[in-house]
Amino acid sequence: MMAQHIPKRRNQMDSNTQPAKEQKFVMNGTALFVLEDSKKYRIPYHIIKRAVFSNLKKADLIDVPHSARLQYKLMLMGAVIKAIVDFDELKITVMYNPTGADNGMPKTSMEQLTNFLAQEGIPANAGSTKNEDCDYLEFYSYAYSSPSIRKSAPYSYTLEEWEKLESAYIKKRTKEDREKFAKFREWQDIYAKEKGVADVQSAKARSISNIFGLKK
Amino acid sequence: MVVPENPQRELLAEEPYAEVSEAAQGQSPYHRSPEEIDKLPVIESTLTVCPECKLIIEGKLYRDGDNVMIRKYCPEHKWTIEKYWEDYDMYMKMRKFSYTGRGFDNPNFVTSTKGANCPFDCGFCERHKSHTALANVVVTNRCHLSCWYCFFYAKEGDSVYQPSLDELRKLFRNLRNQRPIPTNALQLTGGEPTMREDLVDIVVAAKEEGFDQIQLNTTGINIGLHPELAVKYRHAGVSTLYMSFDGVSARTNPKNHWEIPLTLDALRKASVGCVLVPAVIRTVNDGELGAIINFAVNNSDVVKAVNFQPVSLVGRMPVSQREKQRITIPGAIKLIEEQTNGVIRKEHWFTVPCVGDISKFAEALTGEFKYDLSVHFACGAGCYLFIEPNGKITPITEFLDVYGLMEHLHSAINEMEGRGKLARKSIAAKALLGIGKFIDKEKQPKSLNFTNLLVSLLTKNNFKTMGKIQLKMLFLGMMHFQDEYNYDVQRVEKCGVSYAMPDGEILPFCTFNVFPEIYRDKVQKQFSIPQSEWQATHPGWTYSKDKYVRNVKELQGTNEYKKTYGELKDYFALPVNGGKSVKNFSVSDTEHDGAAHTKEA
Repeated sequence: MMAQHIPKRRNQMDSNTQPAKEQKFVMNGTALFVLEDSKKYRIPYHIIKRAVFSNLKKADLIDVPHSARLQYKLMLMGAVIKAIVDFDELKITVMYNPTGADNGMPKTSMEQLTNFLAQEGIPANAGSTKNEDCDYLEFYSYAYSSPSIRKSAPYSYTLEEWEKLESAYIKKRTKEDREKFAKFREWQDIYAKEKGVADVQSAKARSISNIFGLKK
Repeated sequence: MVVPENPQRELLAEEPYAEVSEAAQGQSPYHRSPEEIDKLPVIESTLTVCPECKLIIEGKLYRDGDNVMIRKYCPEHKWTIEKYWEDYDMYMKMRKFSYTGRGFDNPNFVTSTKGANCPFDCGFCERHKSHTALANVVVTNRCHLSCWYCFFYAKEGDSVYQPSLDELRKLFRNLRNQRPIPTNALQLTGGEPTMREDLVDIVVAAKEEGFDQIQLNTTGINIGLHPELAVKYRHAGVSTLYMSFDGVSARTNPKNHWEIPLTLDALRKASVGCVLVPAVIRTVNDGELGAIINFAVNNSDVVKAVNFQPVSLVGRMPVSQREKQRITIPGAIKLIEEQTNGVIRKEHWFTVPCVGDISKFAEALTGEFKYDLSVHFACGAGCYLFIEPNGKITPITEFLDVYGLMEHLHSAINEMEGRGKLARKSIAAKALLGIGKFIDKEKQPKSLNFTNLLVSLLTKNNFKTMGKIQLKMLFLGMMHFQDEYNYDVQRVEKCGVSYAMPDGEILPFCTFNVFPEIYRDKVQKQFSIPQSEWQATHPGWTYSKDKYVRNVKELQGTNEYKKTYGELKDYFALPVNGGKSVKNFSVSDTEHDGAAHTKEA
């Protein structure tokens, strides 16, 4: 049964998202990496642009299916990272890699975007426009640590019933996961002996690092 | 078996008027006029896409003789007609078991549209209606083959997509962080994952991140040629290989026909099982479906399942070609019935969500989240075969009334709602005591105590229990991935097979692969390593060095090859199975013309 409790919602494409925590970056030629916990992760962009076209006309967006197709067409552009065409809010949001950005990816400009939209029947002077810098890492970080926007309960339980059971469940799953992992390690030793496998220490998982319930 | 009435199941639409108009008789369903199609009974409506311009348009599923077709009209590109499901009766029976699952409490992509632009709002969005049952992670786009129909592998000059170990671990963690049900089953895919020298480290990392099941989606060729790899992968934590196998003959399986015997032998020695995965295309390999099952039965010590995948028709295709090559799940099921002389009949198959009540029962009893197969009924079907010591092949539904059992469990689940712990246990105990009546003990294989196994599954519902069952059986699966012609947004919303992307988004299979231009290819390219950088960090590497060239004569001369193909037994010709040979049992093993990767010694 789906819960009613809905934590405060944050949309990834909006400009009021919380800023990503301070990040360190490493460049290697044209390759950009972000450092997290001393580990390096390749990312294609850092500072990009967010263009927002709002107060558009319903007649120009036509309907939800045409808005969806426009969204698809925007996404076909190599320089467009993400696009949302919201018929209900009469708004188009485009995250794009701007001309002059310090990366090796395809680029575009606000002018090219507005020309494209004009060709698609969205006049360049329609509504209001905003074009601001944004950090690609906000989008990336959200996707990698997406917060809960709702809560579910097991079948045949209400949310209230589940809230009483949840901590015991997490405790039990944590214990089970550790035991399962320990059994797997024992099995690895037996298997290695059976198959005459030498030098398999490096292939042994060291410890279970992501036990259910410990990472939110 | 009679499918019981179940008013509690979701009904998607009114039952259609059953008669087919006279004008519709005798004509190919692909070539009817819109006026004729209008007369045919509509089953339900859905949303789909125009294959040309991607406009989201209404699709109507309608009955045309024995077929369920989908028709859609784009104002610009006019009509598209496609086969959706090649058996109306089976469609109507299986659709009763559809239900809506939970989706994600923490979707990776949240926007103001709230998924209204599906399938272009993907990431997962909050509208998704199933959790991830199996996650795919692409570990490389390098491949040692260059199959003409494949779009997954890097072409010469392309950038190389090969995330680092740390980057992969981050993807794994993202999957494990899904709520309410963390992903538990992972498939490492490509390209060809065994191209990675650090694949063992990747498997170790996946194990550390908590995955129970780790599969390798592979041609099996590298493992066949280097059998020590099978031991290393197994030791690191690989549970099974998910291995391409398009047919028993070289003609139908030019990909790995010659190496399969070596691979199976390596897997035997390493005590690791595999799933054979035939992509099924009409007029190409549809004549060998029974022979493939027979091959699997012959090798059931190491082959645990065969997962047939009716073709997805990618790219622009004229109607004539679609008509020629299209096959759907029931089409393949009916061919199997013919080719196995009725040993495996269409009524032996059940739709995937039909077994959802097993998970729900376990949840209702324990108050713990369990794996929930709430996928769309048209996405997949299954059939368990039990192979007895005398070679008799018994599908599980010969002795187990699957639908009856699910109804029985469903009643118990409803009874448990709102009850306390003790009452739930009492209701569950009563239900478990009653499951014996759904098992025909006369037809049950003698060496099997299915009641005990089933009780264990219902009360524990974990992978170990499933493993026990599968040790005594061969699972046959059907999984039909969509394309732009038969695309159904309702199926996508319920998809349980995901792909984790390097930008943090996670997508259903049929958006990732059907619209690669805005998902798979686009995002992988963003995170790829330009060839110049790749070559600088991998001195001596060239594209051609990645490619495999086989020596057919040498492979055909191996003992494994001679034994595997030369000593095949026709199980279906055994008297206990009816005594008639499976179709195409005697396929030639010497055909190797047209195989793109061969050379003569």
